[in-house]
Amino acid sequence: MKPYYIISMVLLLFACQKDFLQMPISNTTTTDSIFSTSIKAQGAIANAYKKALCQGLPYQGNWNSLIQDNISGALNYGFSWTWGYGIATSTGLTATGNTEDMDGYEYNFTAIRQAYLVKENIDKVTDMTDADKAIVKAEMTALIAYRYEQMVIMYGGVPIVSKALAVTDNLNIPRAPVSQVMDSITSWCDAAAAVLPSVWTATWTGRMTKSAALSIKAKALLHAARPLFNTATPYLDLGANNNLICMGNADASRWQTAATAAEAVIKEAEINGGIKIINTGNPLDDYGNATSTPGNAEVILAFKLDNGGNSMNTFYNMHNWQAYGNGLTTSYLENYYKADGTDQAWPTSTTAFSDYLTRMQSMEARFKASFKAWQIDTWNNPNDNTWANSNLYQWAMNVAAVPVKFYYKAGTRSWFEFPIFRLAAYYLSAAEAYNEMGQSANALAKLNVIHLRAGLPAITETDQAKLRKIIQREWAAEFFDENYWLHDIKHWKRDDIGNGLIGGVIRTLHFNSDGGGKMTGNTDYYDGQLYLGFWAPRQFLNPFPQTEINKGTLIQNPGY
Amino acid sequence: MRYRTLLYMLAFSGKVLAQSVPDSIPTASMSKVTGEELYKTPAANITNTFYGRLPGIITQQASGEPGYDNASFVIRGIGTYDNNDIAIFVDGFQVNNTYFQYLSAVEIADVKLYKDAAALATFGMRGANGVLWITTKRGHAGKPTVQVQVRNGVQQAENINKPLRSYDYARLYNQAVSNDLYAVNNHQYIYTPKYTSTQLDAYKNGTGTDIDWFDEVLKKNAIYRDANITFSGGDTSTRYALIVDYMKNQGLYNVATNATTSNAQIQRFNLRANLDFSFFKIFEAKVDLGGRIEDRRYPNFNGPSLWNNMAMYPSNIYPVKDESGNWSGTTIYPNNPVASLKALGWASTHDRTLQANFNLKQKLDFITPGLYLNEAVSFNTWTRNAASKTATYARYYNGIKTTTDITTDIVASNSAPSNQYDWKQANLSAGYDRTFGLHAVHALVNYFASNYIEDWNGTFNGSGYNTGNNIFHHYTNLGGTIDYTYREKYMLGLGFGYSGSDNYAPGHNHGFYPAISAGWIALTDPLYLKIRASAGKSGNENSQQGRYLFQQYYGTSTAFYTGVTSLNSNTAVSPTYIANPNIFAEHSMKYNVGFDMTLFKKLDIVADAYMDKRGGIITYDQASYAATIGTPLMFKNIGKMTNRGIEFTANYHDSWKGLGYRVGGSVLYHKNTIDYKAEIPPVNGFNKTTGLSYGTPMGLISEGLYQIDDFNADGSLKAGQPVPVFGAVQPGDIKYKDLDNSGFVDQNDVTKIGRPSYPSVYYSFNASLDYKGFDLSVLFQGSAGADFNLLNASVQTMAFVNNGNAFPMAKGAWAYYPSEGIDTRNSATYPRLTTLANTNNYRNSTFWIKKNNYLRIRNIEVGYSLPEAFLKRAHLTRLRLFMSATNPVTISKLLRDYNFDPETPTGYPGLKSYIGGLSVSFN
Repeated sequence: MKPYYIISMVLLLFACQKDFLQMPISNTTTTDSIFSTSIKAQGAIANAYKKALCQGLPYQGNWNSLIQDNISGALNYGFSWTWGYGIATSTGLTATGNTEDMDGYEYNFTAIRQAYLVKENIDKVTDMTDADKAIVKAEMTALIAYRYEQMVIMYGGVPIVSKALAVTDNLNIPRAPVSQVMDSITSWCDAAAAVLPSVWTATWTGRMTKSAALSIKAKALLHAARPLFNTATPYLDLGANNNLICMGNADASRWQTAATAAEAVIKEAEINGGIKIINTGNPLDDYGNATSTPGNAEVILAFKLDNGGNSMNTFYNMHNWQAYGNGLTTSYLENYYKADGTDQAWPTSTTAFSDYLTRMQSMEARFKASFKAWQIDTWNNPNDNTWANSNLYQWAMNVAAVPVKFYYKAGTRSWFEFPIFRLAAYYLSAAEAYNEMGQSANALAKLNVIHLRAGLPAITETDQAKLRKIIQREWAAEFFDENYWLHDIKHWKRDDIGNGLIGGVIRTLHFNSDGGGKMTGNTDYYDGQLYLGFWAPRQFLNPFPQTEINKGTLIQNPGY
Repeated sequence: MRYRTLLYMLAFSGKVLAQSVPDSIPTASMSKVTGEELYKTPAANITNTFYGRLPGIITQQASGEPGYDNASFVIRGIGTYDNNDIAIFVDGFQVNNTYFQYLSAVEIADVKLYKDAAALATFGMRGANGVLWITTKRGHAGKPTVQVQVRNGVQQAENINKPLRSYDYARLYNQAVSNDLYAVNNHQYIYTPKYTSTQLDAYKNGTGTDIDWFDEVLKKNAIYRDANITFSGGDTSTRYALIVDYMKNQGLYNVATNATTSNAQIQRFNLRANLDFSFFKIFEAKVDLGGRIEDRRYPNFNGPSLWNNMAMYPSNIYPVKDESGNWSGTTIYPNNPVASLKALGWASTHDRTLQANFNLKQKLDFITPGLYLNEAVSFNTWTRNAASKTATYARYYNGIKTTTDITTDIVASNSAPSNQYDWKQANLSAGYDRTFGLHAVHALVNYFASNYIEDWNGTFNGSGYNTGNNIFHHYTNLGGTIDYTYREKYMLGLGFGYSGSDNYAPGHNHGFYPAISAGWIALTDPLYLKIRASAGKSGNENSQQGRYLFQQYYGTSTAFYTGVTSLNSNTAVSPTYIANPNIFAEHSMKYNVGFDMTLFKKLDIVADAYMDKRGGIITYDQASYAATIGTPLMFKNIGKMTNRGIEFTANYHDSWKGLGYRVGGSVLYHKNTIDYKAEIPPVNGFNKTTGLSYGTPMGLISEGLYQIDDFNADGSLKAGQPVPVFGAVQPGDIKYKDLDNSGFVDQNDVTKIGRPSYPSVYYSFNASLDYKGFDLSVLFQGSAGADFNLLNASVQTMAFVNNGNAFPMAKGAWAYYPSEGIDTRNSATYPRLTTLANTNNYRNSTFWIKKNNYLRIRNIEVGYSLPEAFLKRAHLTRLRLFMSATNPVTISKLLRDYNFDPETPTGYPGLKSYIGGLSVSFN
């Protein structure tokens, strides 16, 4: 009797064992729930935006430099412990660590995957209209295009992913030729622009618009037309795979395509997007607002991050000691005009400090909106003690000035919106393209919109080569610290890239017999070598990480 | 009689049901230690009594802080790079370390260690890391016996590693700041001291501030005290063992335990009642209640931080109190170590634990002789409440308040629950023991079900997703063993476990773990020799990668912002690792051969050689996927490791003219290799960590220090030398080998630089004598084959960095200031000093790797048992007085050269103790 009872107990236990081994329930989000309602889907959409738009920005706080301008010769390389140091001075970019793409090459695909996930799953959301779903899909397409546009500029041809890949898919996707990446970006942008709204309501400002999608396309096509890609013979030979690092042929008509794309941005932005070049006749105020004021009328797309003021701004805001590693070089300072439109000369032998003050005060408005000079209260926050000379001083050092861009009349606001696309870029894009096409009048018309806004006298130069130099200089003066210069000089294939731009002697202003600029009581200064920059032609494009190459599918860029 | 057939089949076929473990498996490898042996080492925490006493277990001492002094255990070395935790069972039910560590040695009858496949098969998915099987004391039929034991004594730090005092600190600091100005001074060393010679003189002659923080905070001796009473006895139908045990262990802090302050302290109150009942011929019932209260009290300041501060705060920063009588403190050194003890109040926890087991056995000999059934349940529960009385204090420096802290009155907090677990288990088994002529059979099948519920920070719920309070962990196991012996000479064993865990996807959550073993008693007398061999499979379901890896989760990531003037934060949600529907427990194939030998009944030898091949170790598969997948990758059962070793134990006992003596020793050698761990092939073959032992330190090869003539006048390295990429270098910095001849010293030059931090050889030996009531025993334990990375003790090693202190090793620093008579260029044993975080010097390299072998005397005991004649008059059965010393002597090169204890180099040190005691029995 007893044994029967026990056996049946045992069997009973087995019978309920299936339920006994069920996973317990918690409040963690799973796939089943994430695309159930639009409120929940917003989390996935927000993630796609953040991951895509953060490209190249030190949003994490654990990035330790303004990498692009630390290695472009525009700013000092940071500290001996920051990333820029090795790249700028000794090893250059390497496949095993010294990289410009600091989130890592792999992270590009994390961003792309997230956008595809939203695009592929948004139809599962039950409480969203079909029209809204179509817009979400177009936004995701534009984000994918943006990430590819940024990648192709850095790496050349990259693998094209057309969906959220599963582990069972073939992941060994080879690099696509540059031309194919460019074509994909163009078609994605066209498709997205056809659906996206021209403006969003105030709450959602910051999401993709029609002009933002067109901006992505215009930026990509400008780089397709520039000398680095627009050739049959790339910067270094990659044999049969040359099309991974250039367009494969030289075609002057790409400048026309680039000009058309830039004009399309200007048209859409100004007519439908409520976007304009801010020009009220007060250059410091206009340029300051256009680059700094959150939500201003010149910005097409911004990376908005108000993270309690503790991460994104660490290396931008001179109130942080970390930012003090980023001082202006004379090499870059020389791109700025004097307020009267002439060039400033900096003495190469020891000169009284009063001369420095005089020369600095005579600089153009864009310089004053972007930098703080030694012993002078910050021009771009006038009469604001927070930004006074005494409050920004950290220690003595030999740099021409320190950047305060993006903080025009910011007062105590520590966060800022990084302008990803600003309308001025498309005026300069168009100007550059028209000049290359030999249409100097068209080029000057576009260029002078920007140049005049800066309070400078109009440019009248019509010689193509001379005007090219002027337009390139305008890019430098207008877009300091907006992540253009490093790739611009590479894509222009500037012949001085190894001799004063990235490599060679990088100069700065030295103060007080090399003791460094002080808060007050400076005595003398001169212009001289800061460091000897490293340059090798392989650096025209970035390396793919060695860990990825070792997996066997990718072809490394030449020289690494 | 159909049920008889069924049970018969059940017992024999091994196909149906089955976990209890038989008392002994003749073909298995296991070792054993009695509670009495463990009691010889007076220690608050039972884990600290195991050193060298249980062959096969490697015990590493950790912090000696009362209440947090748990030693770590691994069985036969490291088998997996995932979770190495062993499974612990008390009276047949699994317990966690919280329960195990404060059992009293008096409660324990014996502890068995199950090591090989034959012993572990029935544990299925929880057996791979080995099992510690503890049996508590039970009553025996006979006259009631009472035993009273009392021990009292002191504990001391095994070693205190003190920093330099003010004079040496300041003298070396002057070098460090001068060194840091090298680049500014146009690449020259110019002496630029911070401390003037007047200040240095003041430090030297004792008029300057010179505080020994260790002396201020610590006292030499701490109290250790325990006492217990055991009542046992019974008759054939009822037997009992009742044990009451009390232990008090105080810390080394020089502070009173009263209403406003507290030393570190634990008091433990154990109560155990193990009852046996036999009735109606066929029933045997057991009721075991093991309950415990643990009361801990500490100064209201984190213990590890306090020890860190004592080491890190230089002697000259401030006096303990300033002239105005206020506590000193500055913004850089805010937490005055003495004030941390005396001015912050105290914090306490109150733990309640109960393991209650009920067991009922039916002897079914009336069905067929030798058959029995057994049903048991266990309820194990633990809760912790926390309460405190806290205050804050204002910091002053030279009469000026330096921080915003203010002095407040002491405030009492409510007692609030802070942690808990609950573990319910059931065990059903059927056994069959019978001898038919030349055949003997022992069979046991057992069904085990476990429901473990713990808070979010517990062992099982601590990592991965789907964690949270009160997440349960369900587990079932059907295990069985059959041992067959023929002519008491040839033995064959079969065992299996069939386990299920809720960690894995439904339909894919069970595993089958079989084992086979054989034995042969080749010789019996005078030389007894048994040869054993076993092979089998076991599993490990407790992965550090988290549970439910088959489920796709989403986690939150940083927000995306939209808006114009005031930004809206949009919380971002992103997918985590890719779900792996096939994820399962890692498995282990264990092979063991060994022999047990006894010669003239005096010499016992046990020897074993073993191999543990792990497979399916849950590993983040970074090697298989190209970046194009764009997501955190998948966890897969792909890791592989091999662990091999040998164990040898010998004991000899004899007597000579009334002098009994006993000598013995045991040694374990093991070596493991990571065979596969999804490592992405690195640039150079020598960078690889696959193929090396787990935890092998990787770093650069040091080639000594740079000298002045290695540099050009502009501070750059002379041509032909590889350039380190970790920041500018200067004379006196560490020079590294450019292994791949790239011209740069970088992460591609990293290679194996030493041996792991755990020992590959672990040994012990002991001797004891007894003569006319006197007894003496000594136990040595040592280890070899481990390395210590000095950078792991960063406060002690990295002088002046982060406003830190300097330790004696900094005296060997490279320095060249001929104007000051300083020139250690050729004798330096330490790189040039710096006050900065130098990423070139303070980086893993052979420079900082030191051998860490040691030999300790773990225990010496002297005792005297009073003669029987005297006892009789006093109506006693036994009276023994004893004195013991624990960890009195340590021999270690690391200790000699760098003053680091080999096991507790930093933090609250391991303890030595000197104890006297008394044991009385009567009936």
